[in-house]
Amino acid sequence: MKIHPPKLAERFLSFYCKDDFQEEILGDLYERFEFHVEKYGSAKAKRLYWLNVFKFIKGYRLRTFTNSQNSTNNIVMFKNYFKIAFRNAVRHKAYSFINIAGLMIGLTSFILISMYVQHQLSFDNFHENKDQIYRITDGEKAFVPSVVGAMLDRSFEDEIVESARLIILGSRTFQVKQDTYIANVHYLEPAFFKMFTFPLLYGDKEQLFDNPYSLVISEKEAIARYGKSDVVGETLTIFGRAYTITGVLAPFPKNSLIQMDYAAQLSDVPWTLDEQWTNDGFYTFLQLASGVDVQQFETKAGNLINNELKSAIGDEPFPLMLQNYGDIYLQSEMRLQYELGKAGNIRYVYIFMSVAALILLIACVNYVNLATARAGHRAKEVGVRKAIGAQRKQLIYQFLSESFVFVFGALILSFGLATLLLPYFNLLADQTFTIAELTRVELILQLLILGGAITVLAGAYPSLMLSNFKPVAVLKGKFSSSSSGNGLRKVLVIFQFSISVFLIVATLVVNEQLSFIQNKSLGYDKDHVVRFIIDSWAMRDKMETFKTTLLSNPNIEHVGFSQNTPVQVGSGHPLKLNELGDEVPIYCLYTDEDFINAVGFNLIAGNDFNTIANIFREYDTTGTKPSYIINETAAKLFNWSAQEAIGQNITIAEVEAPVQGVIEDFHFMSMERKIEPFVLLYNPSRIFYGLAKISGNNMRETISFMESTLSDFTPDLPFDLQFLDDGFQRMYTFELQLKRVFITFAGIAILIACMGMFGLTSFMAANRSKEIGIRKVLGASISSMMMLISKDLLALIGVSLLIGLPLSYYFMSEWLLDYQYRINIGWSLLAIAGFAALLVTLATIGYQTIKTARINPSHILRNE
Amino acid sequence: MTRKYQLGEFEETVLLIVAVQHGQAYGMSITNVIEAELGRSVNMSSVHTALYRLEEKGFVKSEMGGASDQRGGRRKRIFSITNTGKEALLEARDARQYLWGQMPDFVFENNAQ
Repeated sequence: MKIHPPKLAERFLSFYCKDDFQEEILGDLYERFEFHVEKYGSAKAKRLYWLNVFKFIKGYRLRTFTNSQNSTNNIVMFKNYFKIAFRNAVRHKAYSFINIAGLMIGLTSFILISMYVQHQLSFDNFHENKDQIYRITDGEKAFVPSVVGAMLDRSFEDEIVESARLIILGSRTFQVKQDTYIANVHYLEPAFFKMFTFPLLYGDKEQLFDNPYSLVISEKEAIARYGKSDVVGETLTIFGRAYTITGVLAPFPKNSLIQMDYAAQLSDVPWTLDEQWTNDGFYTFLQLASGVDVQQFETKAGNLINNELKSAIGDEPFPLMLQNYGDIYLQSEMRLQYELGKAGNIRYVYIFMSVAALILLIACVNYVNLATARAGHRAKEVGVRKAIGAQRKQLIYQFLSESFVFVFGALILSFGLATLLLPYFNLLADQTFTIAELTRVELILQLLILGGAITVLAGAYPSLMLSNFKPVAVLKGKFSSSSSGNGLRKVLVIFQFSISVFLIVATLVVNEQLSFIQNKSLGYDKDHVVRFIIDSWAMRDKMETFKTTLLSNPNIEHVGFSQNTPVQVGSGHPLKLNELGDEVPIYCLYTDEDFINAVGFNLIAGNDFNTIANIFREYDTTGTKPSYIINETAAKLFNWSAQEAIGQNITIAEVEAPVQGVIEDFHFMSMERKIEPFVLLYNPSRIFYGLAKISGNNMRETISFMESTLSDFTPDLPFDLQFLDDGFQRMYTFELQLKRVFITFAGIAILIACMGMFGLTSFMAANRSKEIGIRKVLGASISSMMMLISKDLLALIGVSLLIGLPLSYYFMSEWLLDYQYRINIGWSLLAIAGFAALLVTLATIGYQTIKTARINPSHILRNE
Repeated sequence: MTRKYQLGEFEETVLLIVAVQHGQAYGMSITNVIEAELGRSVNMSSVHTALYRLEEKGFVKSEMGGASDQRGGRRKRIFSITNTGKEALLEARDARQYLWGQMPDFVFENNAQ
């Protein structure tokens, strides 16, 4: 047997050595090697060969990697590449359509989603002092007692540059000239506008709150109420008190967590300055001096509050935490109750980014699959180009130019499509993006870079593969197109369909979980319950008459009054757990006698307030025994069943009294949270809302009847009516919106994957048509032909299911952990998903399969 | 007397062999002569380098030989001496002969003893 020099050494020499020198050197080395084999045997000869190859490394022989050849005609060649690419695209219309449509849909989704994501990420970063502004929280609620901010401001003059507290006290009645309306006022400390960057259109920033009862108004409200924006100096009345407008705020940026219409100073509501620990509800912001160590300051501030207010706080230390203002919106670290505004969620930002990336990847995979599948069509061209002197590098450039044409063509189209779809996307994602935001220079630059990246990502493998054909083999016709790139195509199809399976499962789970939440028994009846604001002080003597008047309408079934609605339960009192003095907060709602009936709470034991009703006042020392109606969760704290709880003494806010009733648990917070202990308290003087259960008949008349009745009793109070299920829907707006967005884009991803699959099947079927013709001539049946064509793909789908199902099970279980009340991902759901994936595949490949299997052999074979 | 041509000792040897093997000289054949006939171990890479340097100086010219089944199908680069090369060789020989002529006779006589 003839012994050859080591291949690797030869290749190594070819790698480093200039082409001009290679042949003679390799030849000489070959002779030398033969001589050595004879003299020393093959092992030593090979060693010496290697040694010599290394000895030949000399500066003048080394390859220089600059473009020594064809440096002059590059531009001409690129012109040619583009021309050929266009001609090919036009000639193979189906192929071009699938590629461009896939890339276009993918890029459009990507553009829209990245706008959303960038908007989310940009929240609150327009404040000049954003790195220095912190909010104090206790880790659970977004606000803290009034005293915390005041005390820290006094104690740390060096560290704190500015401090501002802010409280939102609920709806106020406004009066401008003759009009009355309801709006919220943000009561805040003057430093607020120094700390945050909310520019004024009119008014002097330094003198906004020099006088008491000054009011800052948003431009939008100014125009709505006065018809002009410069309203400095105008006066209006809030709850009977005259305020002077001293400033008009410029419109708030969309990416600001805080949005306000009216701002007045805290000192206008004197009790807000009261430094009691129980005076809670103040969003407290600090602007720290630059260079202050935040962690150290947090500890120091926490210690100060806990030491100074020990008696008020009790045994459980107050866990003071500082939260950078910029982090609040996405709440990367914590999610707090009673957030200032509609907060986002960093996890959803990640989810959307991943979906966008997956969609693009799937589109790229389509391109790679189709380009390699039809490599046979281009093989002759490659052969001829190589035969007349094209180098591999040039061919790589050619095929990269081709993917450039496709990607940038798709990019331009998708930009147009994104412009067209922007209004629909705004509806879908509940955003207000404008065309101007779409055409920002940065976004366009990012897209161009992205386009370049996709060009390489999609074009790299096809160009390497196509440029590697051996001209002799191709031109002789020895080339078989079906086998090239087969392995990679299989991997890519598996990859694509694993993603599709994942998205199908995710869609099903999201859908099921959200409908579970919406249909879960809430413990009350939210349908046909309306709530309206009342003025209990103005109506203090007329409540009974008011109620009787309302009930005189046959369509109004129950009327009750309460401090708040069941979807907005906020305040709480301490509930004593044992003799050691351990306490937990218990949420409470002040109501009148009929509230339970109006909202349809289910009393499972004891008596409601219609039977017994004793007024509750916290920290009451007169010895009266108020009526307590607790929920099941509260009863469970003491290990009582509903029946056992009746008559047991409990102590709320240091008032001990027996439990007189137990109601079924109801969801007063989002389903993400578990049901907390809750108590209904009787106190008709603390009510702000009326709730009426109405029948479904003549709703319009019923409502206008309610409006006229209310204005008879309190003419100044505007009629502000809401259906309870609207409020409930609002609690889940974010989830519902998420569901819509997710389902839409998951659908798009699956659609693109199917388009790719369709194209791939067409090419595979076309490649095998002769084989099928011959098989049919020899007597194969249509069904066996269909099996033959589809079995490869079905096997790949099987593998994808094996990968996609467990993966999606894992990730979706993680997602469900966010919810206290959640579905289980059962086998049935996974089976449905798998079946759906299979069905989608069959539908996609079915047409081509049947068409090819039914082919008339004579049509195919007569041309041979 | 100034020398017209720069020719190192190793280059001179290689150039001589190119002249000797007129029309047949290539890297490996020269290496073989140096190793087998002159009994001197040599690095193949240096022989190639010397040949290129000689070509740069214009002492030899080269062309690719015909293809053959030998050498793994690779062609040889055949070197042949140019007129300049011949002049350089002559000059080198003259220089050497001049020095031999200057040598006093007793140097080798003493040495013979």
